[in-house]
Amino acid sequence: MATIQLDSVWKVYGAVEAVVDLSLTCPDGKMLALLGPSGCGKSSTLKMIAGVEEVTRGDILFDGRSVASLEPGERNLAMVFEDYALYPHLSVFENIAFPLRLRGFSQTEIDKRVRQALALLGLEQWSGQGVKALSGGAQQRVSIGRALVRDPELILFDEPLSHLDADQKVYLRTEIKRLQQESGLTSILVTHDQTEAIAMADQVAIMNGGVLQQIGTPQDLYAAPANVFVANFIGEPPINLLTGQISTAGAQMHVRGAGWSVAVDRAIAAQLSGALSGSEVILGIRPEHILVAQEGPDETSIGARFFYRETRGDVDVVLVDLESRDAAAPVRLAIETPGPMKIQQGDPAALRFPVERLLFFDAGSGRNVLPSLQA
Amino acid sequence: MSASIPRAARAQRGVVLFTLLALGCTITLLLPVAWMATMMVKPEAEMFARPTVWLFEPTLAHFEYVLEAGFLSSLATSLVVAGASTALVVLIGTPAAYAFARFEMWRRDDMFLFILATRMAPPVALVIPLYLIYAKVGLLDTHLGLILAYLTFNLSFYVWVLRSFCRDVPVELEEAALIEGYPRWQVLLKITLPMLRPGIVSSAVLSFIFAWNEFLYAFMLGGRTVKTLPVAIPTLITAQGVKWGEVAIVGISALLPVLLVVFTLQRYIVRGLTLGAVKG
Ligand SMILES: Nc1ncnc2c1ncn2[C@@H]1O[C@H](COP(=O)(O)OP(=O)(O)OP(=O)(O)O)[C@@H](O)[C@H]1O
Ligand SMILES: [Mg+2]
Repeated sequence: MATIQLDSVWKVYGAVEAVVDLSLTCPDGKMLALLGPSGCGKSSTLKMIAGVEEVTRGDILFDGRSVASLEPGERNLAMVFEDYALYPHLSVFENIAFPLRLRGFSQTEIDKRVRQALALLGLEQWSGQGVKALSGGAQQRVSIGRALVRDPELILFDEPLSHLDADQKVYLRTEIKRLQQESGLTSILVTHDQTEAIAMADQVAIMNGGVLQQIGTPQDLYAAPANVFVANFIGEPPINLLTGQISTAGAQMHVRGAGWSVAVDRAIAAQLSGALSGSEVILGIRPEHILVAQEGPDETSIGARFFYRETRGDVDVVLVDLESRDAAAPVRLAIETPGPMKIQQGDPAALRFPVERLLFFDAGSGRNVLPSLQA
Repeated sequence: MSASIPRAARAQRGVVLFTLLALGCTITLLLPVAWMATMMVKPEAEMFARPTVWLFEPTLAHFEYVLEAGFLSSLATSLVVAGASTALVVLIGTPAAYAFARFEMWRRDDMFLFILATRMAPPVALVIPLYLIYAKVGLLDTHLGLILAYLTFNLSFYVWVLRSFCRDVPVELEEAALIEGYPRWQVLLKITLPMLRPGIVSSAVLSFIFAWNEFLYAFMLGGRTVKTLPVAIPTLITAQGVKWGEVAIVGISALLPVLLVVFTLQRYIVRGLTLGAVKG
């Protein structure tokens, strides 16, 4: 087992800065997810940790010791690939035995370990078969078996579930998590699927364009996203973002935009205007936090019209358009409500934004200016 | 139910028709070969009798002539030249193709195109300079000379084809083995080479066949003591006329090694030739 630490790591391919000044730590025995859109440098990061790609700048430490000069084989880690990377000319058994063959284990020891791995992953009946004939899920289990069989200090998963069917995905997700927790294996998981990251990881690091946006527990990221990108990336349906300004009406402070306004405390307003770089603020509120009623608005609520209802079985997601003077560009919000809700398009709706659920971002930098509000 | 019976019958008829067609093609293609085979033992007098004589007293006279005229040594020369040049092509070309596929290097694509360019000039254009060079360094009429000549030709073809096979080997497989602790050379030996085998075999066979059938270079650069089969055959066109029986024997024996190679390696060749077509 090991604590993995990246210290200002850069990866540059020619003119492409794939990873920019990345520093993060994966604690011993935990699972860290690297989450981000395609091309944000997740795989590059993983390959540098594995040692198959050079680190352009910076250092990688296992338990405080730099591994920069170590060959991939000397780092005692295993990797599970998106496309399984099984050896097509070898049987299931031989694929799993492959890492052991190098290490001079006796045939009986190899037999014992491989059988254990096969049993653990429910692969016994395929043992002698070629790997090409197996389903994607089974192939990925073989590659997990190959990773586990030699007790590595660290397992790297590069989008291990992205080519699997939905049922296989959920099954293998639980399976990986269970194996990881039981053996207390330090693991790093790369994925572009937030559900996967949240379900599996203890810590999630969100990357965009090679730059780390935020690292924290899934709850942290959900409740107190560091910036608009993170807020947008975590949560389904995605968070609603509204651009507005701070305004004063008598003693009451408001954040006001086209067709909406929210009353805020004087203290919050003061903090806000201190933290903003300009006059504009982006207000974020998650679909599940908006309260909606089927009635016309009063002075404490925001007027809107229903547009569409999508049922999710347990809950409804309704889309509403804020009532604004600019009818050509309606501001559309998604709201999650415990359904079922009977609506007609164009029906009036009254919305309430609970102030303790609001997120405030600087319109210029996208930074969360009041992260302490939720944390 | 009632609809499925005619459909099955139709399918059956399709199979029969297709089999007949394939059979017809094969027979048409093989007939000249079979006819040539009978010529090997046909007496000279009946060689071109009209109508063709199918039943005759077989003779071994042609075989005697062929053996006396030293065609066995030509067969050996052909085997040595084609075999050795192909072996060298595989030995040198495989690492080269792999390097071109995998490693960053200075002006890689330019160099690669340059390699292919050696195949773009018509062979006749190169044979005169090559002849002059060979005459200077004493490679004329030697086995080594022909082997090197074929090597230069086949190497560019081989590297060109095998590079795309190398590219089709997923780099993750090699990375997986590296991470598992295998040193690079073992990764090549245990993972990459087995996966390249169909590509290596099919391109090597094509190289072999090229060297085996080549005439111009064999004639210009060899031809006196080092005589390959394609060069030896025309010597059967004599002042007394063409020795057809002997031509048939040499022709058939030139065919056999190629057939042997293709049949034993068939499994790989088919996989190799279709690999690009059926991506899985
Ligand atoms: N060998 C390479 N040479 C040049 N550029 C590369 C190389 N590998 C990756 N890149 C570039 O670096 C950036 C990050 O790539 P990387 O594979 O790390 O992204 P990723 O987050 O894993 O994306 P994906 O979700 O698509 O796998 C991309 O812009 C990619 O085009
Ligand atoms: Mg990737």
